[in-house]
Amino acid sequence: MAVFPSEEWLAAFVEQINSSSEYADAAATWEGDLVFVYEKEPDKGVDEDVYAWLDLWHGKCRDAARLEGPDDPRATGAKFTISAPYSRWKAVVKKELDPVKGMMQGKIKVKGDLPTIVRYVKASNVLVDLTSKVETEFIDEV
Amino acid sequence: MPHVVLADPGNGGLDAMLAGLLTAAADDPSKARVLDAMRGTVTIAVPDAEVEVGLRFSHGVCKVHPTAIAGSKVRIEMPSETLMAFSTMPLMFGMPSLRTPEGRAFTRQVLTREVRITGLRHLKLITQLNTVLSLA
Repeated sequence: MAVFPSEEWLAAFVEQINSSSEYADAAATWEGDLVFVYEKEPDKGVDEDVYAWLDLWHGKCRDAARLEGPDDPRATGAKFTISAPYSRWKAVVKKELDPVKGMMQGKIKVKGDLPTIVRYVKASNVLVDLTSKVETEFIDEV
Repeated sequence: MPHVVLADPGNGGLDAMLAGLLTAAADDPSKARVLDAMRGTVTIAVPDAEVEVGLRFSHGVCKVHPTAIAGSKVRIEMPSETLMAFSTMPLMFGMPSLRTPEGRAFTRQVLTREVRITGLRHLKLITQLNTVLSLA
């Protein structure tokens, strides 16, 4: 069981991505990295913003890392940045919040080329679905 | 070149998403011509996400509001999933093509009132909107 959000959880998520044929199909032509920002909520045990970087390429995750902060070149140069407070991400992982609706409601913020995100909405949904397949323990419940 | 303006830049929801798509359209010369010619107001409502967005087109400027525009010429209501899929549907004469499964599914949703369009007499504005939002 991996604690969300931790390096260990990120590694388990990458494993899910790379073993998913559904994601491989949906993102077969996707090229680009993205950064998930889990914004701090000190009362929930997340004392600082957490930056998780994923290098996604043609349906696979080539590399991933938990970044030191927003100044890391991988964060500043990422094609997409998706940010939300920790508890919103927790709701997404628990499938209590649909990420597309969350984006429409402004609960999840997206930075990057919108047409690309819209074109790959199925791949994004699969990616989010995969988070719920990671055996997860939440940091505020540990 | 047409301009896309967010009425509330801090909102960051569907208004920002549509503004992103419209800004990309403004960078495409053929779509920019369509955007430039658009006149009128449109409200797009997504009931399952409880979100409404207003678009005001006038003289090459599109202002995107994070709320409905009262008395919009056109009002389009559709589920969030349909709205996201809509942009990638192939169009024919500015409407989803019945020659494609996606277009036929969309038409079925119109007939079953899952998708509601009011203001059909402003068909030109509707087809223009479909054209500028299309990524197909």
